[in-house]
Amino acid sequence: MSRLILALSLCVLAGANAFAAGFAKDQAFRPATAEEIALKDVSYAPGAPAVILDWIQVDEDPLSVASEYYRIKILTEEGRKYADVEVTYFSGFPFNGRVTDIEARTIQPDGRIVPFNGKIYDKVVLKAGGMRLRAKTFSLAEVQPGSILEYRYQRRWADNLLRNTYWVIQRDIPVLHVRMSKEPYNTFGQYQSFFTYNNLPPGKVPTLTPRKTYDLELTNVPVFANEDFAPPEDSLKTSVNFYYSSGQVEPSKFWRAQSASWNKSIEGFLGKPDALRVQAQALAGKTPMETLQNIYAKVQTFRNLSFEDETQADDKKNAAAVVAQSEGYRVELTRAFVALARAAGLDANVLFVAPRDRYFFSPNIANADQMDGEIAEVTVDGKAHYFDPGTPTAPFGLVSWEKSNVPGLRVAKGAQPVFNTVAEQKPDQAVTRRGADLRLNGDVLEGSVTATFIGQEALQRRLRIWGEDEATRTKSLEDEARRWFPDGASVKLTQVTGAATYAEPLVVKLDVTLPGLVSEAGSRTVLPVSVFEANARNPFSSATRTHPIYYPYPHREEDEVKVTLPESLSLAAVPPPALLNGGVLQYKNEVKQSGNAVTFTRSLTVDAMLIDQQYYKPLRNFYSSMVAADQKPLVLVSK
Amino acid sequence: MIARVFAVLVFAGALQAASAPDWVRAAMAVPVPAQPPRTSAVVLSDTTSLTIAPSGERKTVRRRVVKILAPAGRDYAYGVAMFDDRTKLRTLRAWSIEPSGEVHKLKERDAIEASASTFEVFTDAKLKYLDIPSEVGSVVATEYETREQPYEPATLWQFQEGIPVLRARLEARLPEGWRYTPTWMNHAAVEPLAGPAWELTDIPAIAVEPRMPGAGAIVGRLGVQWNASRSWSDVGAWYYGLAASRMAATPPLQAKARELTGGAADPVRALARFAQRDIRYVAIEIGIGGYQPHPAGEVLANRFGDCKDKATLLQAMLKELGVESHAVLVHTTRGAVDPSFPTVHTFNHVISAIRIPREKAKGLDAVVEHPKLGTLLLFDPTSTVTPFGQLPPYLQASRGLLVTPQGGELIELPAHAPEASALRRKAKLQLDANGVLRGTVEEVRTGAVASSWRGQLQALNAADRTKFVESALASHLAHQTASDVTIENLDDPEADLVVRYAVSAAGYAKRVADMILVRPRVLGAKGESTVPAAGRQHAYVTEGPSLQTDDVEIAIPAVVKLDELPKPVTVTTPHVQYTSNSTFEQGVLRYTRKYAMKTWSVERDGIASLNEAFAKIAADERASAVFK
Repeated sequence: MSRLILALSLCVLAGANAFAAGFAKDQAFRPATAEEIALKDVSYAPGAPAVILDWIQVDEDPLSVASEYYRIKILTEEGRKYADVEVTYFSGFPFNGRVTDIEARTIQPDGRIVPFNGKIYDKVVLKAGGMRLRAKTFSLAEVQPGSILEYRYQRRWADNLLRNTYWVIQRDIPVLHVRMSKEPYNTFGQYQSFFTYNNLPPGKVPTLTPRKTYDLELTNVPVFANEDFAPPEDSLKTSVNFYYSSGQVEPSKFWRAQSASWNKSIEGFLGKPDALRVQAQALAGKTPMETLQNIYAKVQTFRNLSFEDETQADDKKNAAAVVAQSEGYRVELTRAFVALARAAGLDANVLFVAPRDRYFFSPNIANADQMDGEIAEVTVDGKAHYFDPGTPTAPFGLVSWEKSNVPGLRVAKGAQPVFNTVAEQKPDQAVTRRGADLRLNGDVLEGSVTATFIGQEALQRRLRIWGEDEATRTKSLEDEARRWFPDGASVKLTQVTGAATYAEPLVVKLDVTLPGLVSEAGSRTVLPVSVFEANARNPFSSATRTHPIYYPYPHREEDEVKVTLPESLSLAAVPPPALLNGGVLQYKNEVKQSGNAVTFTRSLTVDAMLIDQQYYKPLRNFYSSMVAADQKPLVLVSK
Repeated sequence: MIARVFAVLVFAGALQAASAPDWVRAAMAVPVPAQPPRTSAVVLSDTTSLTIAPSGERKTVRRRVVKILAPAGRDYAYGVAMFDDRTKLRTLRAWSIEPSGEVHKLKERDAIEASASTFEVFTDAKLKYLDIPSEVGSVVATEYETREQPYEPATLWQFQEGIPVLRARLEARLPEGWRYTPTWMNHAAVEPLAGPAWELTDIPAIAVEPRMPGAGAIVGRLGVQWNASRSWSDVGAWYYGLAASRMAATPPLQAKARELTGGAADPVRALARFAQRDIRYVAIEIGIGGYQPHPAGEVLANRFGDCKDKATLLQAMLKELGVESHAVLVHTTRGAVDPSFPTVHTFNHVISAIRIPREKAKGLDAVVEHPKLGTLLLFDPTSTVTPFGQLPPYLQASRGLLVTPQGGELIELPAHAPEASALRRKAKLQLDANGVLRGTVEEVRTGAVASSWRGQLQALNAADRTKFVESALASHLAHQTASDVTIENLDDPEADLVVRYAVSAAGYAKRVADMILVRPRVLGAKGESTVPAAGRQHAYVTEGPSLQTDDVEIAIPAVVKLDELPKPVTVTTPHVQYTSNSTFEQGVLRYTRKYAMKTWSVERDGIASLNEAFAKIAADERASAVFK
């Protein structure tokens, strides 16, 4: 949406185009070649349901026209769905978009041409206020495996509208050839244009041609792979984005100008330290850190409007207003914290950060939308500390994960913008500690479980249940615990503490009854050593991997399970401890026996965020070994 | 969700201060009694007022008042009205009354408009949606008015929903002399008030439980027929009137029928296969096109159509062959078709009933014997993964309206025997001295068991199909690696789906003290998930009848000796039959088992024994053999 608004804000140029655009020569329909007819599969994407043989997109901004041509071969019955075409467009003001000159046909496997003479429908996808998203839809006839589909159309939009362009080239089917061309609007120096790109093959970038178009031609574009534990999709897909900007487009100049602009805005909001001197004095502690804790505690009590569904509150004018009204939106609370800290005489600043949950930041992209997060940086005794007072229940000194371990830009008047990685987090700032005290009763384990979530693990769960009523909170926490155990587990929440405060861990106590864990080996009884992981499976089941492995944040799991055995049973043998050293991944477990009680301890530490795919095999082996170690049997024999 | 976000983005600040109408105030004046735990919102009042003209034209005014009791209840703070080319939306308004008493009003222009569904290439069915700002303690009210010329003089009123309803009312203003026939579904009959009107109070929310039947089968509804007593035959006749002319043969259709059947060993099967596989599912529904098929010749020319188009083309081609066939109207939610209330609105799908000689029914499962029409084979040409001779899982043990030139009649759609959906797994494996398990596995699936895998595998490319197998193995083997994955007959629903692969699993044998534990089962889980039986309100919906067998052989290194085998297990309930047995002969640990699920649904009183059966099966699957 923010990109859309950027485009809207730039629609001010005068001078209507007087030329009608046509299709390019290579967008003309043409017969199938013998090679195309013979194509049954794509060597680098075997089993693909269809393949884009040719995709030509020509964006002519001076004429407000984009022409698109697709040539798709259907390879399987599943691939016939690509014969249903939907071209969306914004029809309302200011885009006044249209889709025109739609033509299509089917080339049969024997070369016969089936012209498209069906109806083209105009569908309302969404209409809201002045915003109208519509779609031209049509379906090609006589499509079967072996058919080649050809269709083309032109998107048109209002003259004089500077419209950003996004080429998402990587698709769910392979693309054998794609040519894209973009002719930017000549703004006579009023506006700049620039492009960014992602995951293009080496040596391939859009190049400026003598015709003043940016052209890009690619072959054999692979299918986009959907994988778990992968970085955000927008950071992985082959894509090119073109932007218009009224400001600087050279990155270093852009960020300097942006920094200055933000500085002006921020400092204006923070105001002079005297404005909050009285309030800050009331929060003063014996040490700077104690003062900070008091200020943080105060701001955390403010009403956080960003986390309310239906709020209609206006933005605040300055930090003093936030403090006076004890409420504000997320960034307003962060700024109020900084203002109070400054009023207390501390070295505090707002830090712009690039959240990494949607895409990864690049300083070479002159787009301020990347840095839409704010945290607070306070330097005490020469050391920088980072705070996230705008996130409800964020622990003191911890920021929500998407704003951690990311480039941050400290906004300061006249200073050169420097991107530093800020708010680094360690595994001990995201700990899940599960304890169980169980008795073996027949073939069922019964007892209590205490789960303690610390730091980031507590924060993420608190945010998940933030604003929910007690019944919904209970269900959410019980459901999570139920997933630790095999089918049939009974889990009843008995107590929760720390669900609404930043200052304590989140502690969940449960009564559990666990059938489905004990098994038999003839006359012997078998228990898995880890009741919490008895149901686990390797999350990396595939032997192959395309993308890097991405964890939201480093974390640690610590389990301690005590099982009291009936007097009639004893442990056949205490298994040796397990230790797995995977570098940034560490695992160990140990079983101890004391009388008729068996205690199992386990820890897993993931001290990584992004792991290159070249390390996938050892990582997969690590998890396989861990699952095996967790599910190692304890054999119980009759005394 | 997208709609909600859009609404917030576009309409923030569009609220107008206003006063609430009297009907809202009246609903708010009634105290809300204590509600069950986890009740997030409650409908204070929901009134549908119909005014029916002698022409049948119908005005509908719906007024609904909801109180938000908990944050999750804000999901009910919306107003929605459906309309299409035949139903005009006259007004749509909403009010939000804050706990402070402040009232805000939203108008139709504040609404989002969108297609009412997304699976069609095009439909004229649309909706308008108002996202109403609210907080806990708010009351939200909506009112809309539509005018329509309905296709049939009947109303299907659903008064039960996911939250409690304190008061629901249906009232009608009828032309002089008109009569009416009410039918209650999933609710005891309630006497009409003058008007007529029907009013219900304190309607409990539909209990949401795992493995419950579809909402259409359990929700409380009232059907009313206006000034007529329509039978299923009338409904069938209405559809027949729409569809009959669409079956007219064209020369290309006749030629195609001849081409497909010339020399075919089974001409009916050949035509069915064509309609199923060569006609692509594409829905274009405008006006009466929601009910009336496109002409068969047009469907053939395009090679696409929706369910009724496919069924109509198949019928037209069968007619060229001299084979009698009929449309059958069905619903894809089992139990949604209530026999007591004949209406076309209860259907959402069309299949075919093909008359076949009785002797040809051998080996076919989707067969019904009709006293007049003889042996009918039911066939769903829309399901591309269901073999000829079977019904898709969602239609088995259900009901359909058989449409004939004489009208129509409700028929029972058969549930297939477990043998019709089978999984046969054979594994030949070797355990080495290091505890690594290696070998090959063959899995043969038929019927609905195959359909399920076909549907998932067809959507994947070759690399992802291997990942699919690896993911399935990972649930059973910690150190699994799958290779040499081959799949046979993926695109041929009439052939067995055969998946073969090589597997290796390091650390499969577990050494404990002087013992080596080996789990004979190795792969696959047969039982389904258990659910709490106490307090259960709904029946349990199974994954469907099936017959599954495993035959696993593990060659054990000669250096170890058998100490103990798992005990054989037999589980017998009215719904589940399970046997397993482990043997050790000539160095081979062999595990054989047979699992049969016999039903689609288990009533509440059978759930406890079902849970017990699944628990015993799961215990058997965990059991180990002991070697020393």
